[in-house]
Amino acid sequence: MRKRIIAIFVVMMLLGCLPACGRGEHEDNESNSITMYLWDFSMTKELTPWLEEKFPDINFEFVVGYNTMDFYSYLEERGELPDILTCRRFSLNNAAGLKERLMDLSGTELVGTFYTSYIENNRDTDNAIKWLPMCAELDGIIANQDVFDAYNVPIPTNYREFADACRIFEENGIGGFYNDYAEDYSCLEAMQGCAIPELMSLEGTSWRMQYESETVDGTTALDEQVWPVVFDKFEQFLKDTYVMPEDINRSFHDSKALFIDNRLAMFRGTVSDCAVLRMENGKNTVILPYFGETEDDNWLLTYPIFQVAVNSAVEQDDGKKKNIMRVLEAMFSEEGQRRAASGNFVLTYNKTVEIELEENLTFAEPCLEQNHMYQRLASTEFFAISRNVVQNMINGVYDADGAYQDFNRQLTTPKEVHAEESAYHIETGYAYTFTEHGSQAVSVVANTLRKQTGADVLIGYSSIITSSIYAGEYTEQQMNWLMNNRAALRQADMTGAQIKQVMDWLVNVKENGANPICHLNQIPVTSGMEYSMKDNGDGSYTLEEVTIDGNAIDENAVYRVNLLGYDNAIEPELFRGCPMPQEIREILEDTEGRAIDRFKAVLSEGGQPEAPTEYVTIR
Amino acid sequence: MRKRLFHMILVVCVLAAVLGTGSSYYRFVSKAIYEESTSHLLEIYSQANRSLHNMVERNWKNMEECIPYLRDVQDEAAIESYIREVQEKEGFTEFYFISQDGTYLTLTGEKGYLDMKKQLAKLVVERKPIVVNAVLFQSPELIVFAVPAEPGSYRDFPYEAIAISFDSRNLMSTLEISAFNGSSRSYIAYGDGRVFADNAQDRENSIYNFIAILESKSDMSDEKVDKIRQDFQNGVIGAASFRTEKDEYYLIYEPVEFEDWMVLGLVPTRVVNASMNRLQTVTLIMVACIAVIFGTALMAIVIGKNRRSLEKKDTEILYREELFSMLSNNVDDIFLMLDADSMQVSYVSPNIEKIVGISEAAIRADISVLSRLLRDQNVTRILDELPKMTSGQRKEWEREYVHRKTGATLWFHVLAFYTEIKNSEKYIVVLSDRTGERAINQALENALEVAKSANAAKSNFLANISHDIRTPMNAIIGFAALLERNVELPDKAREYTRKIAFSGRHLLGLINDILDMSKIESGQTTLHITEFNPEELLEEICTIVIPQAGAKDQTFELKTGDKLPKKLLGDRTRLSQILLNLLSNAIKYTQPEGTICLSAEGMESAIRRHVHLRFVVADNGYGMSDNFVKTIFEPFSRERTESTREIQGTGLGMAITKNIVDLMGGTIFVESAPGQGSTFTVNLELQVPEEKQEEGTDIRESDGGAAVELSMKGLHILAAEDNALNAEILTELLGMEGAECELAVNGQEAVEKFRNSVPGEFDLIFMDIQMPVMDGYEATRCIRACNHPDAGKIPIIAMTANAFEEDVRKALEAGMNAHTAKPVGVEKLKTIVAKLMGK
Repeated sequence: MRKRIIAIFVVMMLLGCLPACGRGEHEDNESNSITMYLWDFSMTKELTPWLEEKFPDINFEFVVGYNTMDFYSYLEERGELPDILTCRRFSLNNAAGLKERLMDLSGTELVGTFYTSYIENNRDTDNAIKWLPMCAELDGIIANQDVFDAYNVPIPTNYREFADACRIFEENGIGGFYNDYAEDYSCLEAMQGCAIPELMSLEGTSWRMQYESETVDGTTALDEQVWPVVFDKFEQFLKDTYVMPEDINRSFHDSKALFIDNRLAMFRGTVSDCAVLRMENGKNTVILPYFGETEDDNWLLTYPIFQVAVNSAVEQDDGKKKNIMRVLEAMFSEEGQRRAASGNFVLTYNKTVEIELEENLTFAEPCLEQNHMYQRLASTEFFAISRNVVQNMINGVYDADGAYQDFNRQLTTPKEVHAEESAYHIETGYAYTFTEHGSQAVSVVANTLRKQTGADVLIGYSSIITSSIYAGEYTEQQMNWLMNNRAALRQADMTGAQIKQVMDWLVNVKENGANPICHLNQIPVTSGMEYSMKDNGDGSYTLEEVTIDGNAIDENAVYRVNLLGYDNAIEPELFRGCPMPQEIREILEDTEGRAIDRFKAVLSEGGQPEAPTEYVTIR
Repeated sequence: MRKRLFHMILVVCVLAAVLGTGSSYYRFVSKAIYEESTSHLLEIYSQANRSLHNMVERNWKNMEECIPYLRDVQDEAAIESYIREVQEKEGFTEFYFISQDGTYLTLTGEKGYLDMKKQLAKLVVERKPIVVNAVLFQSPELIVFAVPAEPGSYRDFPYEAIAISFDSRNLMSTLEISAFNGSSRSYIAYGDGRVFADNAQDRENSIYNFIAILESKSDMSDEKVDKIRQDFQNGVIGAASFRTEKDEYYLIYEPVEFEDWMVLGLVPTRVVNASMNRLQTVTLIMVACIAVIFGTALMAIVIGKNRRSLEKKDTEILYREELFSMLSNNVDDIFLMLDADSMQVSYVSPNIEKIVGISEAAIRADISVLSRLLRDQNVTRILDELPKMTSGQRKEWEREYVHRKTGATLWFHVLAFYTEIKNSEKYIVVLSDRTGERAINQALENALEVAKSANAAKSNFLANISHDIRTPMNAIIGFAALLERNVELPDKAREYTRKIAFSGRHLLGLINDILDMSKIESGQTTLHITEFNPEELLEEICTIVIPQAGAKDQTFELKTGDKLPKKLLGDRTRLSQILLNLLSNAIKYTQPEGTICLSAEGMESAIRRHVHLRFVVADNGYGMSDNFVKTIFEPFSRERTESTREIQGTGLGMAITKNIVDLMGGTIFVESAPGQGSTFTVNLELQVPEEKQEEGTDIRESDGGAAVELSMKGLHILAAEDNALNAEILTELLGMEGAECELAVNGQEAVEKFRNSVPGEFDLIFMDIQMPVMDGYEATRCIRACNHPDAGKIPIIAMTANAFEEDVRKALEAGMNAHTAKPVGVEKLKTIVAKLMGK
């Protein structure tokens, strides 16, 4: 009898443990899964693969999103705020909308490793620290020393010498200094860069602290002592650099091409850009500061290469919180910061990290030694207004005073808080999550686009969408955020053999070891055909079969094929280093418009996205 | 059980009390040490805090003193010299002139930007001294102390404030705690726990946020950490202790009087409490030792008690096992235990092989071998019956088995129980060997049958004897009655008297045979071994037989073999009785003119000095049936055929003969067939004497002895006889022989008459044995003992109905000279008297 009672007790104990065991396993899986949104695909270059390698026990999902706080606010509204957020464009007032959903990191050991004077910039009004700045990118003027030498122009050490150099080069038909005025950040940095001493004056810093401590709805006007000087200086800068209205359309890459071709002496860029030109293009580049009147007034412009925040929801799960802190500590370690900067020189914000100066920083070294490193004012509105005002100035809409007035007007105009009008409606939601049969959301986009174009087959680079497809209403902006805004469709008539060649390019490890897939969610998406691949267990995959409706693809048949995506990371040597086969490249034709516009067109015409298919089987 | 539970509870209570007391004592001592140590540390760190405060105050004072000097002195070299002197004294790392926008200029003319954030406005606008952390390229974090100064210019650098900086290590040097030989760590932290200055020599073990470290790497509870966090934020002094993977520490924290700084001290408890710990350790060890000794003693008592209890139980179990082992080895019961599910043998007593011839291993391998030993394979197998049993039930069977090796039949009483042992269903089967019991029962049954048969024989005997006695008695009484009526007719009277006498002799013969038979069967008959001549014996027999045979016109023939010895040792009388019985029977059961032949021959015996005698009595008489031949040697066995119906006989002769032959160690068998006559063969082994031996005295009557011609005439005889009829017969008989008889009615009277007699008055005495007043024995002893001159020599002859051997022996022992059984005939008396008087 006693034994029976004991047996019953043991069985009950075991039964009691079973749910706990299950729950423990579930919680364990949940704790070990971390979703991390990337501000840019460049983070997949070195940082994310290193993290995966360093933490084999953690199941990462890296998603390339958008570099704006508004994007995260949108995800937060949809209830899909990731565990770790990264964003390059950051200001406290922009981040204020999310702060309730982010974890206060101020009491962590990690925050203690930051130099106080740097981390204090990120302290909220309520004393919390939600965002941690990754190492600082140095921004300045990239100079082609060979061109300077060729025209016997000394490397400038102050603004007068810079203006003289520009004049000399212009006179010689060489571009003196170009900037990509089409981009908001270029406009912002150029405008602030040319008047940093003013912005760093007592008045300038006082005004900035006041401005940044307000929310996005604040109406702090430009300091009337500081900012008029800024616009005056910038107006002079535009003149001294011979900026014409048509220059607005000259992109960074245009300038880079001229620079590589020795037809441009200087252009705005970062230390990383400078290093790439030296390493990839063999240019004898040096980084120059934004010049002031004297050498003591020269400043480098800096900004964290990205900021990192943690979803406060993880605080509910101690295991997950610990894992995330392990990941953050790794990211902010010396090795992590080197990986984040892809090996380029960066300025660290942490006491625990020491990064040596690079050779091309010779001319910037005085600024570093004098601690002349200006952190750009990077609120979302400043980006937008800066581009608008700068382009107007270039277009001669107004002078410096007019620019100041307009900037001030735009800055102080109360932001109307109203919901944007709904533009699209999607009835059924699909998860972004990747399984052994791919992602439903990605498949929906691919199937919808293939139907829209009428192609037989669609093959997409994986990183085309940024989130799940939600059931409900979308504004125009929110729909744009669904897909990478550069994603486009190209088309070609391909044989089955060529389609297999495309898949081979997008899946298989190349002879030189180059791997086109850095994470599971970077695998190709297909529509109109399926494929299977083997997981090699080392982060690489091997293509096995390409089928249509379950039958092996006819290698001789000809199919109308759409290629979806953009060459953002697979092909460049510094990223995946897997160039598209030349014979494929030659037969591809561009189509008009962005892929997202085609998707929107389907919805605009009253259509709904196509249902997902199991386009891949991973073994 | 309850006692054991009580003991266990007692032990638990004692242990709990010991542990509780130890724990309370430990907590008390620990708390005392903690309070003492933290109090001591707070004092030390208060001093350090005061040092820091003094240092800051001193530097501010130095800077303030510097301001008028800068104002008044224009010589930059002098200014530099002055400041260097202060720097050397205070140990700050750099001196700065600060412009309004935060740009600095060092004494050596180096410029830079000192990012003081909001503090810049406080310094240059509000004109207040500040302390701020700042970072310069590739230098450690600085702690900058700045004071507003009168606007001035140094090396053409316009300044509005001056500042000095410390790197964290220099700053902490002022807090160096010397009390713990460098084992202590000191920190300055912000209110949120961030450490910005410490005295750590190894950067790898730096702490960047003290509260975060307490949360993540100490054993401190969340509540305690929150309390410290609150203390930090509120600038409250406090102390705590915590443990990390590496060590256990005391934490002392105290607010600095400016900013939200906290001075922290971290000292390993082992360093602080070195001496206290030793005391505590020694005390604890002593307490622990006492507790251990106490506990051990208690455990020893409990264990000892348990052990004794266990030993007792073990002994009991051992005894039980030994008892069971002995029983199972020595009793004829086989014990089996079977698993109810598998029918596998769990136990079998080791005696199984001895009892049924199957080895223990074989039965364990397959229990069904037992069933194959059943004598009757059609009977229900017990193994098939077991599964029908229910728990707690018992069943019994009787089964006949065959010993596997000897083939002997074995009877078993099989008893089976169905029970549960340790959650396992078992059959216990006991096979009790009842073979011996059954044999005894059979023997008893047989004995009962024999007894019944004997009883029947006895009844039959009595019936026979009653018949055989009544028959002559009827003749005697009948002819006596006829004699009485016809006494006047002499012929008839003689005829009747002759028939009465014949019936009387027949009755006497019958009684003698019965008595003889009774004596033989009761073992009272012994052989009287004497030396005799067999030929003489045979001649005597012929003397008796020939007249009888002649009376029936039968032919008697004696054949003797050559090897018949001249002398033999044996009971001559009994041998004679055997032969006379056989010959008497042969004469009786042979028709007139028949032939009777006695042959005797001696043969060599396997026994030394013995001779094998074979006597054959053959006749050509009526013969016997086979059935009768089988019973001829049983008492009262007579064949009633047409031929033999008229022949008188007791039916005891052959039984007596057979018994005497058996007594002599010989054999007797008969061959016969109806009408074919009969042949009786007697084989005897008799000893041959070595030399001539003296013939033994035989005072007993000898019917076969030659009659002595002696007259009793003239003899004066004293006769003791209580029975008047017998006395009368005796008197008449003696009177008829011419002897005078004087009667005494009892032994006493006989003695008296003898005593009173004159010597020679009586010639002999006839002495009855069973008499009133004094019996014959006593009377004889009195006569022999009296003083009468004839007492020792007068012949006394026992004359009694007590005819057994024992009666003869008693008579001789009493002093009598001879013994004769009643009825006494004249011839017999004459023979005895002749023998005695002849001596």
